[in-house]
Amino acid sequence: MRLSINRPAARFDYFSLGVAFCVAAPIAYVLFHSLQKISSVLGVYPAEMWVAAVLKTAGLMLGSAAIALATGTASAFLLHRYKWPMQKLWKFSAVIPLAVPAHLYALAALSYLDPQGYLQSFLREAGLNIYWDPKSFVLLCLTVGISLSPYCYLFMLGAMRRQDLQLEDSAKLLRPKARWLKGLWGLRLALLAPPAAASIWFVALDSFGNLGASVVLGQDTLMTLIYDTWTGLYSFESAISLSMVSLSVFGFLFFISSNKAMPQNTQRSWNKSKPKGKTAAFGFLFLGLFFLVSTALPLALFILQSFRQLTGPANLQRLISQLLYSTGLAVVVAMLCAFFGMLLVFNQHRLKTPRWLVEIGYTAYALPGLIYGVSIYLVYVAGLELFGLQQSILFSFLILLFALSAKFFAVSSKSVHSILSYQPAELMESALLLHKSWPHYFKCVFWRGTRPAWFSGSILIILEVLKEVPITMVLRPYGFQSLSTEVFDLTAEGFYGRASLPALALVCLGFLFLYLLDPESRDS
Amino acid sequence: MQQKANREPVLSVQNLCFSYDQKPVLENLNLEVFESEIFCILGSSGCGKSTLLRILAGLTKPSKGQVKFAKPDCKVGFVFQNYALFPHLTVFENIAYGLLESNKEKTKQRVDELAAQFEISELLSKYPSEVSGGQAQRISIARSLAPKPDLLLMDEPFSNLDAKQKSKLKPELLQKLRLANVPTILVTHDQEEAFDIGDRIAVMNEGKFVQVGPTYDIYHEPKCRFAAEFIGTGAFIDAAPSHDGKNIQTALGEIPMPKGCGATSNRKPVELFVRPEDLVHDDDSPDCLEASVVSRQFRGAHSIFRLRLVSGEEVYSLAPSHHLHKPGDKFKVRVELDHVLLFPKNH
Repeated sequence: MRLSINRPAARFDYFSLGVAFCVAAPIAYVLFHSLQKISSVLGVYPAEMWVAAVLKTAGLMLGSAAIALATGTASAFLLHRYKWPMQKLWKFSAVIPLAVPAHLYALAALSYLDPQGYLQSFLREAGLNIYWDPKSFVLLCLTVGISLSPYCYLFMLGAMRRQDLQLEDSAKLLRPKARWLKGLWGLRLALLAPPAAASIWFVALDSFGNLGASVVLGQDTLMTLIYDTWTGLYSFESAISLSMVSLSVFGFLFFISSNKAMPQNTQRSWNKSKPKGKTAAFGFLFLGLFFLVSTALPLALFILQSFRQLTGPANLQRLISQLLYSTGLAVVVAMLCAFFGMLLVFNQHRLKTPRWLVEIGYTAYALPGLIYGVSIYLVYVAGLELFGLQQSILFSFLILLFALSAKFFAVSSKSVHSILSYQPAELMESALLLHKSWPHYFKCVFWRGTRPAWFSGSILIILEVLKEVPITMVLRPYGFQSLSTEVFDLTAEGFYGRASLPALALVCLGFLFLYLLDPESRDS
Repeated sequence: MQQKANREPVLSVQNLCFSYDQKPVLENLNLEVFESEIFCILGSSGCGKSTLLRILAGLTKPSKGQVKFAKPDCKVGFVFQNYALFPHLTVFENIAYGLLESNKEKTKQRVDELAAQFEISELLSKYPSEVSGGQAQRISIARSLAPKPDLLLMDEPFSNLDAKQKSKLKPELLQKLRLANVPTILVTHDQEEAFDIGDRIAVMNEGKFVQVGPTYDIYHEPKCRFAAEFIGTGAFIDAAPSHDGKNIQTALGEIPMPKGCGATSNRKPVELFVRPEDLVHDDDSPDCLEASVVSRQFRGAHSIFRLRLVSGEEVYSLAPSHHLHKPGDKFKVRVELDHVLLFPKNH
């Protein structure tokens, strides 16, 4: 493939167009179906239920975003500024929730706080006449917020690292006696506002699509209403119409969000000092509490309860098959995403694809998994009918692979795009002037420069697929169960003890992949 | 400038030391800065100039030594190398940042006064991302001067500007600093900048001051080899004292021994440091020395020729740039050594 330096105007990127079509067409198909069936949805639910679900969804988005932002920012600030004993442990625990889906936190919370759980049982034995149902909206916000806190942590940590440290020095010298908002803290909050807004946005969009924790904690959100109709409570058409409603809200939110790359402005690196006084006390308290809630307590519970579940070969056999299925699915999806993503991003980089076309390809990632799963299912069924085919395990499996790949390829591709946006524009031109060959440029510049990002992106995709529930529930072949869906099903039915073994397996698997990410990637 | 003896220093630094990871960065620094003085610290990158400035500002603690201010609550202004303008505030808000917010009228008055002084009045409603480098520099200085500091510290304030901007802004800044009457410590690696702006210069090398004094002394009477080599251009040639000790013999001829010269007293080998202006190009005079041109550096109004003497040693000569001698041409010079600089030879 020879490059012409004096090349004419760039060709149109048909590959990206094809990918965008494959990703977005099912969504358009759902929209089309929904418009035809909209009248049927009005009578399905009472108006109060609609309003309550919408309000709960909005509340979940705000509540979980607030919790995620507070915990993520506090972790980022404490770990960025100070040198703590066991620093590596605190840093790792800040990102552990990446490996733990929200419904696992819900499971742990219910196991501890349920009327038959440890806490209430203990209090009753102590003589207190206590019986309360912990399934609440607040607990839902807490579990979803904690599970999404690593995103806020990573956003804020990145922003703090990129911050020009001389700005704080300037503020200290110009207002040496000012305190709190009039002094350094006012400046810090103002500078952290943009990444905070971006991370809130990210968390809110993710919590909009939460299904697992909402079902487990018995809260009626838009996603649970769609899921209920999908599983046959009401009607197939209602699921589609509800999807359309969600899509409209979501589409509006998504397309008005911005996605600007943060400017890189690193000066001298921060000289971390040991914390003293109140900072040390509160810092330790916070880090310890977060570690307890996000890691120690759930892990201890799963380990304790799992030992009881290990008896009997059937349990172990079932666990092993789910483990293999989950890992295999996650690794295959990650490989597909890496392969196609690399070709796609290279092509977009080479042809300078318009931003709008690139973003359409990422639509599936932005959508709630349940809605995308329903969209794919519709297209799948219509396709089978069109070609006169029967449903089969193979087709179901392929469709599941496609849906998960389309949903999650953005995880690695977006981070590579971000790296490329920091590269000076002249890098590609100077490389091509020295050696006029695109394959050589791919091998020596593009692949070498983005290799770490592809690897970390693949690990993150594996983690996402391991945790994933809604798409797997909608599209899985009959009889297949991943670790995450097994936990979901058992917890939803109240079998907390039985759910602990697959939960422990899922968490351990997640920890393993999380640890494979090198420290720089975990923090970037 | 008043004599040092009549004035109390605004700032006094005694035996200042700083180490980072057990590596010494600053060693036994002593300095005094006086009222209305512009004191330049000149040194190459990495010699510890910015670290010294940060210690003086109180942003970093020294490992040893003392920093004493004449006033107990001395207000320090700092102009950072990259200006450190708050990106989320307008130019007006940036300049007003250090002023007491209680009196908004006075704040506005002060900001307007500084904006007029620094010719940035039309930029007050803009953000730092919307102004040029030269404008950002002026805004940064205005912001540092707004709270009327007792001492101003400037860390390479011109390093981010191009040559044209520098040549325009340097005299402007000097004038404004004189008007503001604030003692200033300016750190730079640019000798021209130090000579243009500084009343006194401290030459710094590897965390130590090698020489402190007026610009004239620094240039014409460097006290050590490093100062001689670092400041301006020059070359070392072998020198040997004559038998009677009254002259020095060099490839440029015999030169009278300077009075009180200690470099030759212990009979170790010495070298003479020769600057380009010490060798005047003169093709007509009979006393001239002949050399051959090695290379020429065009500097606009003049050129600096690198010459090879008969002895094989190389020296520099300054000549008007209309002299178009090429490498290999014969070049005659007349020695006009006003300052005889002898240093022990480096082995």
